[in-house]
Amino acid sequence: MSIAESSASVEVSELTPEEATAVFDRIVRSALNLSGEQFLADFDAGKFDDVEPDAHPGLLDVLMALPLVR
Amino acid sequence: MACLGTGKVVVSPRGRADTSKTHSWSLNAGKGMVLRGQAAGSRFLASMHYRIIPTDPEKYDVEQGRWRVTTSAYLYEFRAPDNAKLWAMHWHPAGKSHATFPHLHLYTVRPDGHFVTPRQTLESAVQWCIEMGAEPQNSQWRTVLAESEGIHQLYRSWSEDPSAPTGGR
Repeated sequence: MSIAESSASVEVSELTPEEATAVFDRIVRSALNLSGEQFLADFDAGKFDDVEPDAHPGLLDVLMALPLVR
Repeated sequence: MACLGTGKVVVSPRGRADTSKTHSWSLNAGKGMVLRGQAAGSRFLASMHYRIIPTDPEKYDVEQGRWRVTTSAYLYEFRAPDNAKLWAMHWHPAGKSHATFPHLHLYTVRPDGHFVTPRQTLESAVQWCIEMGAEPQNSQWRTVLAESEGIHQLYRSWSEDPSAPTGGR
C-alpha cells in the first residue's frame, strides 16, 4: 500500500438556506430526475409513504438530504 | 475523512447551533469524495442526520460540554468508477423501511440484502475504503482513525441496539 505525501484536509461549511435549496434541487434531479420542488410536493402528498427507500434507487440519497430544506 | 483526501463537510443551514430540528451533513454536498490509488475514480459518499441535544448530567460530564450531538441516521457508501454501488453501511430508522436496524449492503453479493451489523462508525467506513484500495493521504492514518473512533466510542450511547437507550452520539 502506498501512502501519499499530501496535506489533505476536510473543512466544514454551513450552507445558507438559498445554497441548501440549490444543493437539494441538484441532489433530487441527479437521484430521481425530479426538481426539488416537485419531490417535496410528492413527498408531502404521501407518494413515498409506502416506498422502501433501499429498494427505490436514489430515494435514500434524497431522504438523507431532506434536512437541507426541512 | 482527510485520511482519504481533501473535501468539505457541508452542513444544513444553522446546523452548528440550531437545537430545534434534525440537521444533516454530507461529504462534498452529496457528491462524495473521489478516491486515489488502486481505487482511483471510485467514490466514497457519506452523510448523516443528527440533532444537537442537551447533555444529560446523569450520563455525561457536563464539564465537557452542555450540548452534544446525537446521530439519527447515517449512510456510508462506496461506488465504483462507473457509479455502481459496491457496499454501503446504512442506518435509517425513520420511514417505511423494514430495515430500521444498522445494516450493510453488499450489492455484488446480494443486491436486495440487508445484513445486520452493529453501529458502524465513519472511521470504520474510511478504513474500508483504504482496504478497497484507496490511497491513504496521511501516513498516520491508523492512529488518526483509532483516536477519532475512540472518542466516539467513549461517548456514544449505543453500539448494538439503537432502541435500547434514548438517543446516541
